[in-house]
Amino acid sequence: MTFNSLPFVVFFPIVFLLYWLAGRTGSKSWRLQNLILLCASYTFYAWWDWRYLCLLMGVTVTTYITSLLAARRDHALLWTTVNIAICVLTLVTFKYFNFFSENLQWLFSTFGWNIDWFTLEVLLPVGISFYTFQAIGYSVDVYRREITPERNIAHVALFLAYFPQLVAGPIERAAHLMPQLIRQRKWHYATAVDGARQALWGMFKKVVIADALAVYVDGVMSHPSYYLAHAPGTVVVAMLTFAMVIYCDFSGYCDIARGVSRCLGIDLMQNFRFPLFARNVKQWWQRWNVSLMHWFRSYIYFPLGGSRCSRLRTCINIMIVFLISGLWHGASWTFVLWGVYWGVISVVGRFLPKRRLSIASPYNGIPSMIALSTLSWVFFRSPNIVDMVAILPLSLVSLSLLALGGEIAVWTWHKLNHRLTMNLTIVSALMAVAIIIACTIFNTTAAIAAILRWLPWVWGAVMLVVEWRARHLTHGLQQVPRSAALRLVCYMAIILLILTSTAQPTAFIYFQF
Amino acid sequence: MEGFSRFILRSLFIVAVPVVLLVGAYVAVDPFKVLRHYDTYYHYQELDPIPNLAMVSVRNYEQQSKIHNYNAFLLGSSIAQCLPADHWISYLPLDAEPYYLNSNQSTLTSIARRMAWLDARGDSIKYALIVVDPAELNDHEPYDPAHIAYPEVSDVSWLKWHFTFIKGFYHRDFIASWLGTKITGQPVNIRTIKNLEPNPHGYDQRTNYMPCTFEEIQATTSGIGHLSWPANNEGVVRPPLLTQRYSSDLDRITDILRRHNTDYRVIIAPNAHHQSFHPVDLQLLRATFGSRLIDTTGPLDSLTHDQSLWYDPYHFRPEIGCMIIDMAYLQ
Repeated sequence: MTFNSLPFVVFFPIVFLLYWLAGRTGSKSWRLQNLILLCASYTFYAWWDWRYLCLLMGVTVTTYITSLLAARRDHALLWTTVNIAICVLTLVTFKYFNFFSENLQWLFSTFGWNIDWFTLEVLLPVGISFYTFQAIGYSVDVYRREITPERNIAHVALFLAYFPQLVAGPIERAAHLMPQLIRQRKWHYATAVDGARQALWGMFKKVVIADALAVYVDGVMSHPSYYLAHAPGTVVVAMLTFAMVIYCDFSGYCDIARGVSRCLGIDLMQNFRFPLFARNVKQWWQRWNVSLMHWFRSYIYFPLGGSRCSRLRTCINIMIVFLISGLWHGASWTFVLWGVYWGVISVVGRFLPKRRLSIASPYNGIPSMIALSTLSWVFFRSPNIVDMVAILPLSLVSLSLLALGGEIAVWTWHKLNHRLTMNLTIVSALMAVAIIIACTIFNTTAAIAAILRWLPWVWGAVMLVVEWRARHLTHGLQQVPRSAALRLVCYMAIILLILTSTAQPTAFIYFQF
Repeated sequence: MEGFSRFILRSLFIVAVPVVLLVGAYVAVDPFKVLRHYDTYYHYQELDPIPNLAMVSVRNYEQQSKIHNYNAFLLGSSIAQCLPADHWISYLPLDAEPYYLNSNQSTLTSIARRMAWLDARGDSIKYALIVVDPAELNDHEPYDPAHIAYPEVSDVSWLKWHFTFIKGFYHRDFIASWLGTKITGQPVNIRTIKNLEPNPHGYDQRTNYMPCTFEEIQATTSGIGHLSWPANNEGVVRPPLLTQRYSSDLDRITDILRRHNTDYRVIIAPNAHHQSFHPVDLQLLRATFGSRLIDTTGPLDSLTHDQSLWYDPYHFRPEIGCMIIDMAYLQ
């Protein structure tokens, strides 16, 4: 089941009603609420493929047992290692076995040894990367005595399977989520309203923008060599569009997950903090997929020594984290190279002089970061290494020029009188509306068709403006009009857009990880 | 739980208003002509979506059968429209009253159900021409506005039927195409949506025969038919789905044909992708229909390479249609 499917539209209100009605049953009602959530979470997962529910349950049982055993002071390291090994083995078997098998086969064949390797014909279980990482985190936290292991297996099961974050994160830390699961939850009207708003905003980003723009990107990226030969600019536009698609897709999912969870009175961590407005690499990774970066920092980067060691060792630690991060995203060399790219960029960014130019605007750096991140999506989205190598030079040149132009534009905007630029913007918007009306009056079919085709990009631009205005808050729709009537109109307009933007429900991109 | 009921009621209101607006607009417009009955479903040059063929053939039959005593039926998929009516009629006896009772992507199940529907109405099936198409052997029945089976002659529920159309109307590409077309008065096709072309002309309400002018228009306006498609000389043998899935439908068809003492022909339609039945399926068809089975794929093989004789790899032009009818009745 996905958030943008009809079954979920029926499923969630039922769970919501049962959950809060159960909350009225007394002081221990949270236990009943947990049972409802666990059943709902397993139903949510089994809707996709019930057989893989056994895998999730298996990871839950081993995590529960090994954590209890690790809590006894003897052999704590052994039991923690056992659970980590089980989780990693599960992940490797289902996600990486074929990748390693095929690459080893290729490696041996280059030496002339043709060994008959086999590959597994299995479907990648949805969310496996997320719940195995969460299970590893739980075990390590118990080992480090940061949390006490939970004695009720149902609570551990709910912690690992909680449906809003089960299939694409955020990867929650037990210290944050578990206490919320084992206490009485209280209904807060304002929290629920804001949660519903956040979920609505997430749905808008996913259905109206990401799904519509993905059609264009898929069209171009299915024949990249053709477009490179005949219309190279199209490939650059496709990559810029993909940057929007993946942001709206993943952050949209996280907004829905967080919003839905807040309606249930449970707060999930903020996985996206408006990364498109980051001004440097460090800020980018403090804003993009925050929970995954927290996980890597806590369980890989710090144990390796973090930055409290020599410069060389710090660089190596950063490279290791990003290499694993790349591999975590997918069993393919393009993802590994994506990790290497971010590793190199992060290392370079770390040792660059920190002083900002005195003439620079506070917003200088944003266009360059957008260009850098868009370039990283070339590795991410290319169907294979050959296409990636073909696309990369053109993207590098075009995005560098765009970054330069963007930086000059941002600087100019800052230096010019704000009132003047605002007036210019209003005049431009009015002219655009006038052109649209003129096209309609003069019956210009091609113009109307073009406007309709470009609508998803227009919504993308609207989303950027809304999120820019809300960049100090937690989600785009947190800044709503004060007038109740206007608010109502806004919500209904968004729902109308979502309903008229439906197509075949497409899975969220991060489900494949 | 202060404000819980208020939250529920407000959420319901906020969601209900847009839903009611959209459903209301759909009901008022009835873009696919499925909500109300119409005298005719095709108006030449009208820029509306091509109506669902499965529905039109049944609803038109219900209307026209009050005037004409139909007893000759052409059953099959959209390919049936590629067999010219006048040529087919020239081979029928004088007492025959022909009718095209076909539907898009018609499977054997659909053909069997249509025949059962005629049988249940007590209508005579004296003559029949059945077109079976290897490309229409599918694991699943199609569910989209152009291809969904009509509930009256299928097991599709009315709820599913209407939900398919309302979902189809508010598909992001369709609604954009539809709005663009209505605003400009010209066909505006967004991405994959290509059915907001002027309605075809030459439709004969009596026989329900519609020449492939839609394909003709598409071929000339959007290049389909003038663009080549990749040649596939090796061919594709379909899995034995007919034996696995459709053998009971085959039994129903033969039972009805036998009871009505029908003079019939069963045609295996050619296609330019050289898709063919699995040998096991072919054997079953031969065993069932004997000499009344006309496999056109072999004799017409040479014509599949001349792309000027095709609108697309599945829909052929009238030249091939006439040859197929000749083969069926002269054999």
